[in-house]
Amino acid sequence: MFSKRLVRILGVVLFVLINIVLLSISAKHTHRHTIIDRLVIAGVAPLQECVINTMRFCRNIWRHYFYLVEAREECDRIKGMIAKAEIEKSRYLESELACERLRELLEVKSEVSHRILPAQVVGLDPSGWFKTVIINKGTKEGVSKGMAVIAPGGIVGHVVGAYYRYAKVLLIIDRNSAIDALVQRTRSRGIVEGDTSENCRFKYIARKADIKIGDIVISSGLDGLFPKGLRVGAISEISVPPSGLFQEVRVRPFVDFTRLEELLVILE
Amino acid sequence: MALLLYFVLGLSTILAQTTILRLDGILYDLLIPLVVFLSLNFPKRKGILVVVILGLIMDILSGAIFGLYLSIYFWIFLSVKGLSKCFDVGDTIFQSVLIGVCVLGQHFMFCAPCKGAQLLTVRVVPVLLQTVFAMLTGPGILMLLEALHIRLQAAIRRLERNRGIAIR
Repeated sequence: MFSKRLVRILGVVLFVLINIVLLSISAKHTHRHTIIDRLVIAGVAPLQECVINTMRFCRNIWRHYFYLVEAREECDRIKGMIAKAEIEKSRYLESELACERLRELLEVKSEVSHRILPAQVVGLDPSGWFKTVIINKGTKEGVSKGMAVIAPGGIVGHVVGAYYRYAKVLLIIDRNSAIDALVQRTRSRGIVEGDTSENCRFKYIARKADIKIGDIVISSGLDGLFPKGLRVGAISEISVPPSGLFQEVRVRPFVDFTRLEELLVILE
Repeated sequence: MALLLYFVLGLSTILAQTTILRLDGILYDLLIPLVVFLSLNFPKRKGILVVVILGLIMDILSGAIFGLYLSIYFWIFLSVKGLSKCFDVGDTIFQSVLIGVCVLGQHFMFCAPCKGAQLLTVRVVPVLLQTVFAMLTGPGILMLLEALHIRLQAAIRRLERNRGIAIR
């Protein structure tokens, strides 16, 4: 009665209709939690989780490894930049300090009426017993034996040896050094002598001389080495022995001899 | 040639002592172990030449009385030479005492020209510290120098042998 072909077409249409009806029915009952759903989810989801986690772990390792390499490179680059900046900073600081020192030297230069030659300390005394320094100016620049050497703080010493490009300066704290000096306030005269410490002794100050701690000691100019009025130091200790003609006085020099760098040689 | 090397070594020590090192604290004159070493390992005529030159340089650079360093090194050299004939100078304890005495002797020579009141200002603690430090480190420095000396001798011998082969 019906051809085979027509039966097939009707069958397909029927399946489509049934499908549509079932879908319509299913659409009314969304998010069902049947036992099958639960079983499937319970069985598959952990595996998915495992796979996903493994993948994520691998991806993270991969990404973080490269990230760390990049971070390390970045870190090295920044470290380099910081080091450069530190060097730069140190250089600026050093320049600033040098400027400060040179400015002080210029001030001293303008204060002192004599012809003055700036010099730098290039060597120290090899022993702790003697106090001399080597400066980078010598006979070539006009330095000669006996010339006074000063710093912004005050008197440093005098030249004891002049060579072609260098000179040896005996510091006032050396035990062989002596300066004719006077107390600025009372004009009491004495001799400032060095000893093995960083201080000096102020000798031949009469017992009755009016001096007190903190008084400034200046050069008298009578020794023929140092011009008059150059600051030597401040009185730091006074003791009057029970007998004798003089007081025992110690003077703390204004110059810090542990940090000598730039000096001025008085050429005249 | 070996002497030239020790001279350069001494000169480097002087340079260090006059620029970066300060001998005010615990550090003693490092030329003393070198002088002792030269005395122990070189003949009188050769060794004394280096010692005298180093002493002269030190005298020139220092504010000490001219010839003080020269005399100190000279006498250390001769004394050690004399002692080496009577004692076993290879003994570490002996070397330690020897260097300690040399350092103490040097300080004694430095403060010898001090007049009356100046002697009171002599700082005893740094002197003692330096002496103890010299006693502790001196034998080590001598050992280092001796190791250097052995290698140097071997190198010189090798060089001479090679030169001999080349000439032949």
